[in-house]
Amino acid sequence: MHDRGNKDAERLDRGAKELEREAGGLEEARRERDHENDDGDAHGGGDDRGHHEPDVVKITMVVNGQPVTIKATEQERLSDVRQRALTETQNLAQPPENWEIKNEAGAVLDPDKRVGDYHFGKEVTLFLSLKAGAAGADAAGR
Amino acid sequence: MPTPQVVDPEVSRAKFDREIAAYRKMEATYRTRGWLLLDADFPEACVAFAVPKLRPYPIVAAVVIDFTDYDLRPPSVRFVDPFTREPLVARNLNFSMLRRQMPPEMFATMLQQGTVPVTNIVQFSGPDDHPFICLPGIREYHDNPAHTGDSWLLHRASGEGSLAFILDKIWTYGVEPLSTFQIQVQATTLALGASPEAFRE
Repeated sequence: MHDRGNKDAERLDRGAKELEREAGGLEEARRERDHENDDGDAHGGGDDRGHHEPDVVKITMVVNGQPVTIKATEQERLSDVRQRALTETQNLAQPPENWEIKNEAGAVLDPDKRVGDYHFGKEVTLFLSLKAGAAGADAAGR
Repeated sequence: MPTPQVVDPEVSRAKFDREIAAYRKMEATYRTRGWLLLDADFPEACVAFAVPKLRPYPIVAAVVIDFTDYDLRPPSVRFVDPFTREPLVARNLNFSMLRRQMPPEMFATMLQQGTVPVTNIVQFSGPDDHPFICLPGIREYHDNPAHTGDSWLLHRASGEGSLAFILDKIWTYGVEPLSTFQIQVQATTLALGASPEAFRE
């Protein structure tokens, strides 16, 4: 009777150790998964969507030579970004339509398009340049 | 010809320094466009324009922008030799800033008809005249008798006349459109050569 009790205790002990090993394996798997997620975030690959935040593009808008940083969502229209940049830099003497949005290469972007349409990535530098006035008039009379 | 400063020089100098500091912040980007700030010493800044997309890289223009009396008066812009800073006369400039004055669709139609309706923003009276940029925000435009009705003071708060504005316009209309070299070779005479020893008695 005493021996049988000892055997039962040993069996229970082995079962407990087995469960402990399984639990340890699960814990290790969880840690590995968390680590992978952390790495992804650190390298910029982990997007904010996991945290239910919209995609944000950091736009350095150079307004007449003065850089200002604007954070815009991909859904936002470039015309709205332009308006925010003009307000922030106090360039309000001209209507927004008189400011052309250009990329670094000088190509004019469509203000009615959304930020996401241009696939800028996470950061981009754009330029707001004032349209030239009534130039080219023949001042020399030719 | 430099004009005497009538605005408190410290005011103009502070505004000049602000323009140059803004340029320096974006200088790396501007250099990729071919803008080269050669020097900046109040009241003048000298900028050369190269064309990075052509090989070999040509320097197609250089300007001295004079901020004397800025911004009671707009900056003066004159084209210079990039190596000597000597002002250029029209015959030596070889640079134009062409602008179309119509919507793209109309321009395309006229192009198909064989006409290229553009105006040159760089103006001059004759080949020995100093060319100037005919654009609001630039002193030579506002000082021109043809534009006495368009005072600089109406433009001063608009953003025109800043260093970035002026350089952007020179680049947009004069430099950025350049895409190829055009070489003209013309033989005006044809002569045969002979060695004197080859002549016979």
